[in-house]
Amino acid sequence: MTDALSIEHLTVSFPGPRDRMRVIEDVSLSIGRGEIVGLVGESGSGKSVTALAAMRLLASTAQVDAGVIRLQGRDLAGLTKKELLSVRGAEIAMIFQEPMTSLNPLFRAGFQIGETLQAHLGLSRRESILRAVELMRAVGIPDPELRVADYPHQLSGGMRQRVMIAMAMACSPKVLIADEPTTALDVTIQAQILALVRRLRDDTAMGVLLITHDLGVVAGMANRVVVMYAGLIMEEAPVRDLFARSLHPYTRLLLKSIPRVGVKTERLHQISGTTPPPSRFPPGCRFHPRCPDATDQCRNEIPALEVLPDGRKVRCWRWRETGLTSMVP
Amino acid sequence: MNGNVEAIADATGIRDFLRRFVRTRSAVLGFILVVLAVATAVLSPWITPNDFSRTNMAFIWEPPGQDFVLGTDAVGRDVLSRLIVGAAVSLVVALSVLVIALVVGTIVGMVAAWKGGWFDALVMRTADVTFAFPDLIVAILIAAMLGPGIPTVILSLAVVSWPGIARITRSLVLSLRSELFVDAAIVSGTPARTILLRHCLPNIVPALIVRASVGVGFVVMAEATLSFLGLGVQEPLPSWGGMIRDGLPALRSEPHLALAAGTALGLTIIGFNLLGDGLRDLLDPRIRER
Amino acid sequence: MTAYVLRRLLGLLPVLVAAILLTFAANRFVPGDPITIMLGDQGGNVELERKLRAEYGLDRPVSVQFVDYVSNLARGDFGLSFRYPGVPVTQVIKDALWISPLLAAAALTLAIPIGIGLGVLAALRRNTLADTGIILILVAGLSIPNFALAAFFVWGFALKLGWFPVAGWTTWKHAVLPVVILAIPAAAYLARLARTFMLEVLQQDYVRTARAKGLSERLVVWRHSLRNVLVPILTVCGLIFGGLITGTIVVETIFNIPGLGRIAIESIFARDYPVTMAVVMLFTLFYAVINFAVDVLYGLVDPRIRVEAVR
Repeated sequence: MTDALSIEHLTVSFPGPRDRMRVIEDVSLSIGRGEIVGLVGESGSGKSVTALAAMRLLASTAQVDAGVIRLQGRDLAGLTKKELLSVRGAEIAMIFQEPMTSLNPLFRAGFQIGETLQAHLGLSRRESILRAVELMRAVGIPDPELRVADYPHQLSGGMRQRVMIAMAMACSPKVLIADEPTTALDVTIQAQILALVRRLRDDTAMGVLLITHDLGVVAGMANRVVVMYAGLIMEEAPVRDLFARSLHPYTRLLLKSIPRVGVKTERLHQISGTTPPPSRFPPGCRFHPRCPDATDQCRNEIPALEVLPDGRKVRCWRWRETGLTSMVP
Repeated sequence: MNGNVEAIADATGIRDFLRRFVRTRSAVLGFILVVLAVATAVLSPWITPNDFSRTNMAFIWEPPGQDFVLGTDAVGRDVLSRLIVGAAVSLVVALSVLVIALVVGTIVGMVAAWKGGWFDALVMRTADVTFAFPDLIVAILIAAMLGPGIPTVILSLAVVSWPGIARITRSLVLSLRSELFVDAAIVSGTPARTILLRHCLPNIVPALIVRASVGVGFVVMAEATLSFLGLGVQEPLPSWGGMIRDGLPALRSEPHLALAAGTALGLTIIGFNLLGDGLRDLLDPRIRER
Repeated sequence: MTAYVLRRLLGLLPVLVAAILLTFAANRFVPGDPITIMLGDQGGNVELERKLRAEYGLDRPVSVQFVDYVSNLARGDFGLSFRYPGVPVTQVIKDALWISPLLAAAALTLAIPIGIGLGVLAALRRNTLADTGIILILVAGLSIPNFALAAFFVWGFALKLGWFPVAGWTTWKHAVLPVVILAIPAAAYLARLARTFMLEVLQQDYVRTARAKGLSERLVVWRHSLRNVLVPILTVCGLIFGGLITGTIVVETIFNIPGLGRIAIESIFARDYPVTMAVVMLFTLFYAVINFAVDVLYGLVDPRIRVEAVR
């Protein structure tokens, strides 16, 4: 069965201070039908660029230097502008991090949901509003008949995100890309939104690309996890395997920084240093400045992405020596 | 994004500033025009071909030619000389207004931000009220009371300009106040005046430079307008605005006076505005991020 | 919404008070004694002097004069002219009253679509030749004073090409050049703002969402972007209209149009202070009222102000 979304060897560059710089390089990931794939990394790792590239929403200054993006087997690059517009929002949809600023403050919620229906399904304005009410009900908004006429500033953060989700689900997309959907929300609301996404996936068998910097979010949601750092994929594994035994030092450090209830810790573990910007990628393995196990080889040569027999992937010279211990007690 | 912090840190420094300035062609054009105007003004005592106030009824309304490069006006005065001296007059007036507005506005703004309380409220209310009046109306009011002339122009333009500067200064000082180094200075017992002058002022200067450079164009235009209406620079001192007024009635047959003055005025103000915009784009950190 | 309107109304008050105080003070503390000037060579005529002084209310204490001034203002009585002894100011300015706002309004209707159109166009074609070209034109439009523009336009269009009359006020043709000259700086200012706002709006998250929904670029620009630009532009319109009103001062002087602006200048040179002050008051009033109206309109148009946030 073809994957719902397949990103193959994607490389994207932006204009930099001197010449073009590659923001993401050789990124490959695939999402199967009904699968939730978590894309994890710190801010600046290139996860959002990957997602925007999949939607062909990158700024005009960005250039896709290499790679193919397939939606259910179709190469998106081969589409005409018109075809692309009909695919975007209908077959592949995206929700963003900041629900307040992602909704137009001048239009009512129901109208903004209905727009998608009008544009893709050709519904009349009236029909689209009626359908919007149903969609709002389906995403758990109470009293949708009333809320449909509300302006975004009248809704709470969680409600707005539900509206975004309703907008995304309007045309029953095959793939939903969720870029940090819960980062700007309260913890209790976070859980609700994530549960909603899971339920929608169960109901529609759509593929979900869940982008987050929070491994905790991924733990409860994803089937598989892809870890990105400085524009490269560092590790990929089924979620349980990743948590039980991670192969890449970056993943291990990410796991260590999740505060855990019940486990006594003196202080919150932080990874020292910051993600390098694309203009300043270090030579060799991009993680080596922050890696406790770095050797000279790490400092000089970029490791290739190794595909293991069980399907896991890792980009590290030393994973055989260092990638052992279980992180979950 | 963390990356941007480094990227911005890369971008500061005089050398980089100059590099970016030169790349902005409009700013450079503005700079050239301004330099031309200022040079004309500064060098005016030496480069005027004739006495700007000497009338000569034998040569009224001469068209541009050999003796008088830009012709003469209604009473035989050399247009070019008047144009050159007019540059000096306009720029001196503009400079005076700027200096007064900057000094008054900065002091008032700093004190308002520091002392707070009723003084602050008073200053803000005054500024609000001043903004509510169209600039020209204030100038007319003052002109009506004091009579036309250069002092009137300087006073009314200064009155209109200082609140804007006070506002900027005030908000900058307020935000600086919560900075660590100011706290440290307060705690170590440094007197307020020293804090304001030595710590706050240097941080305010870039914003003030931007504001001043953007404002000069306006002041020059306002002075020209007042002079055009007869409320500003009086005879025999030439002013580009006044020259246009003199030249309009003769536009049909002797357009050279009005058009020459109009060109000089237009180019000068365009120059100041381009320069001001360029400086603003370069110095304002918010815009730089784009 | 009502709270918003009331607050804006309250904001008008200090301005009006200031205007009244300032104009009264200016009237009083004027150099020279207006009665003496009016008497001219009849200076010795004590009878006439007393009569004039009484007529103008100048024989009463200052505080009483002020109270009279304010109560008269409330009734629309601006006192008597100095230049035309015995003639009420309202008579002097009566016919001119509607001309200046009309010119300003015409200029505004011209400036708004052109200005916003140019600005949005420049934003959409950012960093292209069209954008740079438009920006330079805008700078010129903002920098060249209206009377300088008038010199060029009158010379070019009226004298050289003969399309329009030079001065006077009888046919509609007489209005074209003045209105155009008034409109140019306003349009340039609007265009600049529209460009800046449009660029900002295009960066906003909700525009990204609109694109992510697969809406056509046309919809994204016209529906989602433009409306968000128009709303803040509206607030500037009040400022612009104020600028236009004062612009009429210059333009009327140039084209000899019998409007309030020309009367203002004439009255200054004629030392006819009551008339000057009346015009100043009126202009200030126009300005304040327009700003107030624009604020209210803004409140109606922006749902964030119009509709209370319930949650």
